[in-house]
Amino acid sequence: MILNRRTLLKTAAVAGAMPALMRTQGAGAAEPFRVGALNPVTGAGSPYGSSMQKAILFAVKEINAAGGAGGQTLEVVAEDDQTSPEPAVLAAKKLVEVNKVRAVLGTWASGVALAVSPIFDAAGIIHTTVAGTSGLAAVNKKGFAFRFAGTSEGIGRSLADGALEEGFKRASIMAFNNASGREMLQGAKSVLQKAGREIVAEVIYEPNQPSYRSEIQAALAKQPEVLIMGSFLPDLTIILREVLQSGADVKFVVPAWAVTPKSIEALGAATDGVLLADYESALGSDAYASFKQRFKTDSGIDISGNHYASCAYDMAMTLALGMEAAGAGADNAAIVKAMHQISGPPGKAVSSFATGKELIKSGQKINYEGASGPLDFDDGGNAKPIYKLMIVKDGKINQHRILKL
Amino acid sequence: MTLLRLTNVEAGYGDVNIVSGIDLDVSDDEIVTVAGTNGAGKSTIVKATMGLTPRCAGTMTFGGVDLRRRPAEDRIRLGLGYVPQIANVFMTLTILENLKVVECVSDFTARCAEMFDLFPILATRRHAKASALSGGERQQLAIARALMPRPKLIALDEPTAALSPALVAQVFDIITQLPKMGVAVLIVEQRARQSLAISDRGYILDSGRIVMNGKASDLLADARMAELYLGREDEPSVDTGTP
Amino acid sequence: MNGSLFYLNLVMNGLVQGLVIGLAALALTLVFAVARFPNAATGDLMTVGAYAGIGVQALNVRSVIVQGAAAILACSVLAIGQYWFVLRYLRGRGLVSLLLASIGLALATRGALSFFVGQDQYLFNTPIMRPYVIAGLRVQVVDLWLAVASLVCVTATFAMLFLTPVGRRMRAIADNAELARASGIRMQRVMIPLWAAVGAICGVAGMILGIKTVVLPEAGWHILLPAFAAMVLGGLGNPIGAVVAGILLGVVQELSTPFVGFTYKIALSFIVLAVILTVRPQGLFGSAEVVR
Repeated sequence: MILNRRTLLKTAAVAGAMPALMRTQGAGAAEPFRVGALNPVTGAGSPYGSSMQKAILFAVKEINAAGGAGGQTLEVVAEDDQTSPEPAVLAAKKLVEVNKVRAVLGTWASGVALAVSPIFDAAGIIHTTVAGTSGLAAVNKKGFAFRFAGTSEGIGRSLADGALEEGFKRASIMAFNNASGREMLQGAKSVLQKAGREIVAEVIYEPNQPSYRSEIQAALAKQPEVLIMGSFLPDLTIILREVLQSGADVKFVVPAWAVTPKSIEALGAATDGVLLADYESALGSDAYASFKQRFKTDSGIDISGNHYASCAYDMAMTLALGMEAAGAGADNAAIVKAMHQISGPPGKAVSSFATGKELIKSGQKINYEGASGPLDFDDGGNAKPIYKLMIVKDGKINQHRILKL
Repeated sequence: MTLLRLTNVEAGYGDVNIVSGIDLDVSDDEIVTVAGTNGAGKSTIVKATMGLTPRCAGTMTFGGVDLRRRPAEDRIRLGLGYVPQIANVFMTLTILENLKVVECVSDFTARCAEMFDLFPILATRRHAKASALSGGERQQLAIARALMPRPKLIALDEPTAALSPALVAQVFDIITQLPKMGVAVLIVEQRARQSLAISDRGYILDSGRIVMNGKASDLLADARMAELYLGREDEPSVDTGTP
Repeated sequence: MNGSLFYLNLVMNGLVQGLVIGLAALALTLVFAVARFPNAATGDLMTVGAYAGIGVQALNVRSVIVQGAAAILACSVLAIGQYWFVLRYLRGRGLVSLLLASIGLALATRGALSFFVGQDQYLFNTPIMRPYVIAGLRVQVVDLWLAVASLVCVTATFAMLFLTPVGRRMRAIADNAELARASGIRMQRVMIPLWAAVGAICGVAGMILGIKTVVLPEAGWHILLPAFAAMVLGGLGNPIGAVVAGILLGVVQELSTPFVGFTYKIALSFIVLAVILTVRPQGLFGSAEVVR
């Protein structure tokens, strides 16, 4: 079954790339610029991966329709990283050695990104990811890697900052035992310690437990006012239910990805007041709304609730605008430099490739404002995160405040 | 009338034949002993008859029915009973359950009562686990279990192995009664002398082949035979009418 | 919370976890006893049960009894199917062939689930109820019901094993397969009820796991390892041992947390397993095989 699904996607990818191939050959134009789409189509990232891959294919279609970038059309080679390092490394090697791609877009899991980054870094290949691990900085030696989402550590800090800004004094921290969870815990801890607040308990828990009651018992033993959760969706759902059942009087600050409308609906009224920290994506911006609508029309996919699809779209856009700005025949170092320039200030704000290409041609500076956010990468290639707090009220997630962090 | 007939049977495990060229028959109301040294293939003959060997070729009939078309679990339905050498009762089941679990028993209550008459020790301990029984009691239960469906023949694989001399006598005593109940007996024994003493006929097996057969009394009287296969006459023996 | 009460609550938490492990171990050990292989598809069978319950809930049927009945039915049908179309043909090929086949069935089941229902988590909409507090001991209402359900399930299984003819045949085969054949017991007639029972147990265990946690295609798979441990600990093929060892494993795991922390509690249960097996290779309660 997994194979079927993967084969299906590969077929889709080839079909998407086919018109581009034929066009370039017909026109006798330059060799296409090959791009790998390495996404979690199966495994834990599968709720996001296939839409990410389709968003990349969709973006490349738009780019090629506008005549390509830097004198070249883009050609996508799609792969499934299975949300697992071993198959990801195999796929990465194939992309580099067989397909000779110049850039790889869209890794998702921290473990995968850490495993494949050294391969891309050594080969001088541009790598864009949404993985949140801080470990990425250490393997990004050439500076060819870009992170289109917040770091886990950053989310952790935002969780603690949210708790502080809401006026809580005594906090317990619970975190999932993986790289991301532990980084969230460290992030939260650093903010609380700096503010001189008491951390009454720290609990790191294992995934896939039939119950977390003992963990909860330990976290609540010294009556904290708030539980800061470095969690993911399934574990947080179980923990929320068990805490609510226990009747303990405690508030929650959790990452937005760990809660969905469905989990709120299933848990019912007791979820009222749960605080969600998230990076402020471009939700509500024109760039987001426009992408959402075009993608829906083209591929029939609704990206509400899948921030990473917007990120994946922006990855292809940023790369293409960078290629355009760097000019025909530019090497990857020049493209990376240009990607930094076209995605942040100063420059005229643009959200579409065609407009951006026109402006670059006319010699103007641009600032690409993406469907996933303003981007504005720092020197380490990390998109500038703006964090916000949301709150569950009457079973709905409402915007609450932008965090000062 | 001949009940069981094996003609040119070979049987074994994996690629190896343990026995070959076996011609053997057992008639109604008869006790037949298969004797031979350890490893001669005595148990294999019984297992092949019960359909429990992976390899088996040749002709086998029981009451005129071709046995080889019948899987092991169906042979009981033809009237073939079996008492294995070891593991001959269900240890984790109670005595009553050991009797109840046997298929093809038409009138369980009556048959059960008959068995308890025959083996009174079982009646008193009917709710005990079989594992709690002594070796002799266990052998009685094994025979009772095999007799439950009123078989026409029961095959006993070394029924006296690992029993004390007193118990050996007791078991042979039970066996001698079986033909009177209409049950023919095929018995595989290392204690050949004692076993032949209660038998009508006997077969002597050596290295997977039958080397001698005939009336039990003739076999016992044969000097060469006695020297080679029956062991010394002063072997621990019991009062079962040994000449 | 004072000392002894703290530990009592941990014991309580462990009991609840242990019941799920115990049920899974019971399903495993039944198959091991009668069909002679460790059935790696047990966990995924449980997952199917949970999804069957979710399916009924999606039809707006709120009764947990009806959902549970659907889970039992779905799992039994699937288990019998797995036996009839795959495992039946491997009889006599040895433990490894059957184990590999069951791993294949496990992967196929999980793959089919994630293909058809996706990776999104599903939840049972059980109302959130406050716990009974008895002398400081917190007892969840849901847990009480789940405990009752699993006890009913265990009781029914033992009633089948010890009070019915088919159960007697199962125990006979488990005890001595060759003698069982010579006693006229036909494998097929026992195997269908066996797999139906295994399915029913997995259905109940899957529902309990689903109600307590979230329903995901991997949910049952994660229970398999502790269930294996409980089966071995309880004595291979010993149903009572499996249930008791499952509960014990849950309790030991939770009681260890103040000393070893939450990330090592799982490892600890396996250390306990290793130690016990070194001292008592036949498991805590001995097995049918060893007794023989």
